[in-house]
Amino acid sequence: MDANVIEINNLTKYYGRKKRHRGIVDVSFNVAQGEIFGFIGPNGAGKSTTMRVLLALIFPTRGEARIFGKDCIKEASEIAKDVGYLPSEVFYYDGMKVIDLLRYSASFFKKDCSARIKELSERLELDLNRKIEDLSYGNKKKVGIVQGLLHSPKLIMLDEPTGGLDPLIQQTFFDILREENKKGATILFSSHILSEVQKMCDRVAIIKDGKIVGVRKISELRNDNYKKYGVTAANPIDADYFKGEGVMNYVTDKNSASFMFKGDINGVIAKLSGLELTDVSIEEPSLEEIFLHYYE
Amino acid sequence: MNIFVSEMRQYRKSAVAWVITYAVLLPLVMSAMPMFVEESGAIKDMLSKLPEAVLASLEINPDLFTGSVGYFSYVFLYIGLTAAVQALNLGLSVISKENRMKTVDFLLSKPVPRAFIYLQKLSAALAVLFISQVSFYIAAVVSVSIQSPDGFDFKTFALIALTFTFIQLFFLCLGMFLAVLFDRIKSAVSLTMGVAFGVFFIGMVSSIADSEALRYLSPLRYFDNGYIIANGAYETRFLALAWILTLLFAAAGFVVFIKKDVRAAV
Repeated sequence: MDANVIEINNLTKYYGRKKRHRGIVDVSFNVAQGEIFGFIGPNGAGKSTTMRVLLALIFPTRGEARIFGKDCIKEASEIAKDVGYLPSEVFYYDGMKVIDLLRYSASFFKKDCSARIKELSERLELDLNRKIEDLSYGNKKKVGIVQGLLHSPKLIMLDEPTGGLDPLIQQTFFDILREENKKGATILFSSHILSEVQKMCDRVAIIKDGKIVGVRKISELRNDNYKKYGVTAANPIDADYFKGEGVMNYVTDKNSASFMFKGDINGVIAKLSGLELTDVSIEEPSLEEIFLHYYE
Repeated sequence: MNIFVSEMRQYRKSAVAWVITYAVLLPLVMSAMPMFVEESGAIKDMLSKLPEAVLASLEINPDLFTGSVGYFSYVFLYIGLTAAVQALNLGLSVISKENRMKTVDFLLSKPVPRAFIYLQKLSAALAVLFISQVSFYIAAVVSVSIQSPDGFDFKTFALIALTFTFIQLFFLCLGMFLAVLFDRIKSAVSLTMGVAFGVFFIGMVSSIADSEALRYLSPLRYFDNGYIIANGAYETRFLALAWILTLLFAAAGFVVFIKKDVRAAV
């Protein structure tokens, strides 16, 4: 069996009649069997566009994507049997109760999903007998979650899944995802919130302005050895004082400076000792800060 | 079949409402006929004093009031409009509600080819219309029979009544095509009213101006009851046009639905 569940090659999508509006450009990455893969980037970077091509909701301008080794456009309905998708938007049919929608969703798959519906909705504290249109935003989101997972899919695609969920439910949701993952499901998870990606994922692809700017292991990112420095001196610090190889996110303001640094610490310490310091801090940066330079 | 069943369930109430409308409305309006027939001499006198244009705009032919089929054909002008409204609204909403309720991602990411989704939606809409048509035909036959103690010209009656089905098929396919093409339709009802009354109005103008050209723009006038009564047949070229357009809209809607990018919900 192919080790990659998702293979994306130079996937490009331009929108509009004249194909002028950039969606994504030459996106390529693979997601391995059993992986929890994060897909992060700011709003409008192309996360949803990529997912929507994978689901054959939109058609690529060029390039291709394969899921389970099958072409994601030509064999879309075949692939969909084993895919669970949670759209970023909440949705409902007028007048349908939660259970009606879930049964409707289950009717597309040739298996009995009723036990799973019961189990998932109990864990997420979702009342099956209410009309969906009367539910709060967070509860509608839960309907989406159960709908995406009720057929025990082999690939779970989540587009900004956590918005509107309270922290406890979010925790339950993540627990459920981890269990699915242990059972063998591969998960593709898009978000603009790094901390949730950080908690869940093995690897992440970072997308910015429609292009992939990096694919990294979360563990690698953490061991990137960047340290965050904050310095305040008695006298104004020269604007270029700390500049050099390995320095990024450099900000100075009169007597103070802050930056991130990776490399030989002694060089920085030597520079520090050349100043008359009033305060100094050396900390572990958050992933957010490491990513910041991708976003810029 | 699951999409078909779900659609039928969603349109259950409105289907029942239409069935009742036709079953009640038609006999009610037809029951007013004796009044017109008794007074037909006086009405003819009165009508003859009205300007031609007014008669044309109301599609009134003084002979209409002398027999039950003639009277039915007059009533049918407005029944045809309601038939169009029902079918157009159904066609628009069966597609556009998925966008409005943001369920389009949900539905199209399921393991069903888009072609099947479209065909199941079309079948469900046809089934809903079929039920209304049965109600209409029963109501029409019964109420015309009641008003015709000496029998009536069944062929002419049938030719007129059958246009109900033609009109509905035409407007259903038009509605589905428009909804596929314009995926940001906020309210199917307001668009329906706009289009249906627009078409009705153009039809009126075409009668007043006696303009062939305008008639082509008004599908409701493709079937001219006056002509049917006089000739016992449809006008071939308008009948052909109605069917060609119906099939064209159906095919175009299908093709666009299969190939089109689904816009993200906003």
